[in-house]
Amino acid sequence: MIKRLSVSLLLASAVLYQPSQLVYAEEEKETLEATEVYDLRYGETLFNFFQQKYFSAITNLMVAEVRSPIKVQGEDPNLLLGGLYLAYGMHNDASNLFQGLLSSDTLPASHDRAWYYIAKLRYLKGYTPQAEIALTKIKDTLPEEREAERLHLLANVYMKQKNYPKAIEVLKNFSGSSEWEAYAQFNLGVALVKAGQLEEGTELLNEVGDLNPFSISHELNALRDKANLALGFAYMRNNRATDAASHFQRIRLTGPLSNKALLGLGWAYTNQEQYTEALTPWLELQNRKALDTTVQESLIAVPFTIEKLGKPRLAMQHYQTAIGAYAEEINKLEDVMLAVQRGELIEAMRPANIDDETSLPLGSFGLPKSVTAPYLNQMMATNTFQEAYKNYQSLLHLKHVLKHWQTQLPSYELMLSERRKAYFTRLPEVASDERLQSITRIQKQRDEYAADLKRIKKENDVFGLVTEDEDDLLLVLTNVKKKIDKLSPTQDLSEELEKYNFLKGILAFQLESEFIPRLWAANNNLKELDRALKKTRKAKRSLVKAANNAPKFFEGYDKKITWSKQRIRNLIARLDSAISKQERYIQKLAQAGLIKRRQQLENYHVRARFGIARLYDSLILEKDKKVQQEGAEQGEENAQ
Amino acid sequence: MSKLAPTLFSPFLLMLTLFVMQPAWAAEGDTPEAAGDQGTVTTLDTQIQDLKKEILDLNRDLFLLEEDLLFPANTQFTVFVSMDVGITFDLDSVQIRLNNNVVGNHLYTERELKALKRGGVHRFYTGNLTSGEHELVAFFVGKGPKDRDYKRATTVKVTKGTEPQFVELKISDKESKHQPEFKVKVWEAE
Repeated sequence: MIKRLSVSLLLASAVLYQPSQLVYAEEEKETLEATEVYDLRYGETLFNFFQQKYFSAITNLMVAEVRSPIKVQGEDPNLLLGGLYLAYGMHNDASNLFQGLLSSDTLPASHDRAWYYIAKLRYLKGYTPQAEIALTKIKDTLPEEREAERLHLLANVYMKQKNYPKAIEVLKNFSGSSEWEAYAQFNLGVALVKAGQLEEGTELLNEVGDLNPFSISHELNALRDKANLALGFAYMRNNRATDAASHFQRIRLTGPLSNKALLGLGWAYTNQEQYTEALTPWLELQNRKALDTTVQESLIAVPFTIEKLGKPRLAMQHYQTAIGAYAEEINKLEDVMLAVQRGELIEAMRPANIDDETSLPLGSFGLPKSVTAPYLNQMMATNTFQEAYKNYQSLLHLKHVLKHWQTQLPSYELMLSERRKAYFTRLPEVASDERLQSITRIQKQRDEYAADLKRIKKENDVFGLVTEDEDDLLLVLTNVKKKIDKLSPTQDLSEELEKYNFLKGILAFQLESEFIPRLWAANNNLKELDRALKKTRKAKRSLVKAANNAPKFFEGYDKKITWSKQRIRNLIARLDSAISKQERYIQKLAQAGLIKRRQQLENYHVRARFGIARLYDSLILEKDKKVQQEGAEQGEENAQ
Repeated sequence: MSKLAPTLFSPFLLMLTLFVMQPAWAAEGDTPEAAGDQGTVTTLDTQIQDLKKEILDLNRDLFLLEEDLLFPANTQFTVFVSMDVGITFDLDSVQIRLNNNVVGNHLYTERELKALKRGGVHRFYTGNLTSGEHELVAFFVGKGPKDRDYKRATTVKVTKGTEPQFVELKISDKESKHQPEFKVKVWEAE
């Protein structure tokens, strides 16, 4: 049997986590417990599932359920179907299926897995206390890595309920070294810092932030950066700038968090009045291409620091540069907003090859220049937008599926019509086929043979089972005897008679000795004939039945096709409506994200202008003061 | 610190509150406020879920209808391709001939190959065969151990009855020689 990987639990991680974690989940799949495939249809479902073709995989299982349910895989098909529903965004169906599994007579391992899925679903929907109940129902059948995931989820549940002592307790239950533990530690550390428990929080974050970057995975390195960033922010908030700086410095310079780290480092130096040092990370930030919030913030942070260094005129120049940059970005942003309004974003999101049901990741297609502002990319990375995009793609794919069937159905109608025509043309020919009529005659012959055989057996008639050659021989002997009888009165034929008797005796002896095997063979032949006749009668009955049922058969398919056509029309109308709604929703999401960013930019813009005004005022004041001072000195001189 | 500093510093501190590492499904608050009320979003999500369910049901019905019409049970003949988990053979393509007629060619994508290697079974061909004896020849092309090109054909005689017939062409490692092996298994319809 083929060794295959169990997927029942794999789905939980593969379908629900964000892209960075998805990579992590992909890497560990090979460590999952192995199971065996005993049903090709189950294997076919896996083939589609592994390619993220969830629609096809669900269809495989649904078709199998109608044809002949997959029984040899235990609860795996059900767990897989539930997981597929989840992956395909059908949470309600997933929930119903898992609840059904709990109420049925399933194995403890299946129960545990079902509870695990239910917990995730509840957590996803925000039913945190119920998620906690589900998680605590799980016993001890989960594999080690999945158990770590369960604990991670449980820790999150407690954090959401602000039950930090319980969450800390959960951390102690992790066994071995699991990346899930690092995630849980990080989340809890941040939660505690947010809750004002700085010492406890930083202790947990430090454990993650202290990981050796050269001996951990890419995923953990990213988490290490996040922990150090969070620690840096926490220390800044508590006026511990030196500690903050050391944590910002530990973040990789090329990672996705490097911009935030550079910004934070600058503020940490500023807080310690080390203004020259602060300029280094901020000016580095300004060299970076991505115009994200950190770069924008550095634009006003630099002149602020230069001012602190006692160079107001240079500071003013930098404020001017910042104002120009903000104004330019606001204009760009408005262009993007207009492009989104015009539907360019939606247009770009329509996949070129809708035939491929695999959900393409956002960014895998080229966005037009008008909508490629970094602001939009950041917004598109949010979970809400990703989910909306996935749903949008699914809807487009579903429409493609319906359109496909819509074009197929007429050819099936034609096929049925041709078959009907052929059927009614050929029916009379088949009905009058001589071979069908000969069954009765053959049956009569068979009965005669059977009666004869019965008699032979009863009378022990060894001559009844002679072969053709023997029959010929018997005929010769009979003729010889007749001749002997005829000639005996006139001639002495005793020698010939003796010979005749001898030959007949030999033949009789031969027939006698072969009688039983021949009788057995004849009986067997009769049985074979019976079987053949039975098969023929069955075929005839089937033919008659088919002939009687054919009109119903055709009518059944006609009805199915007509009904399907109606269903397709109705569903396409509803799909079109849902697609429009989803497009509006995506546009709203994009616009809302852009408006938020514009407000941020306007805020910076105002502050920069305020900075200039303030510096200008102070320079004028200084100048006036100097003039006054010079005037006073001149007055004094004149007075002297 | 000057009086201006806290004003400048405020957006920076806000980052902390946003910076909680959560799995995507657990993420909170990333929905821009102006994106519409939650009720509308939930309703739309429910509508989409309902649509998915109904279309899946319809798709199943039509799939069954199509199969009944195109491949009736008494003549249905299906060929599957599978691989043992962990096999080192990199399959490029498969060609199948039935009674010396090419009935299918498939070039495997990397994604499909990965799915095969993880235990997926590919439905390669579905067609119709009359009752009786038939010859099936499968040609496998790919890269074997040490990146060597590998071509192999395997032949099997199948006896088609009146029930649907499924043939699995399985590629596995020949342990003794570290070479791929091609096995054929005929599955009985349930």
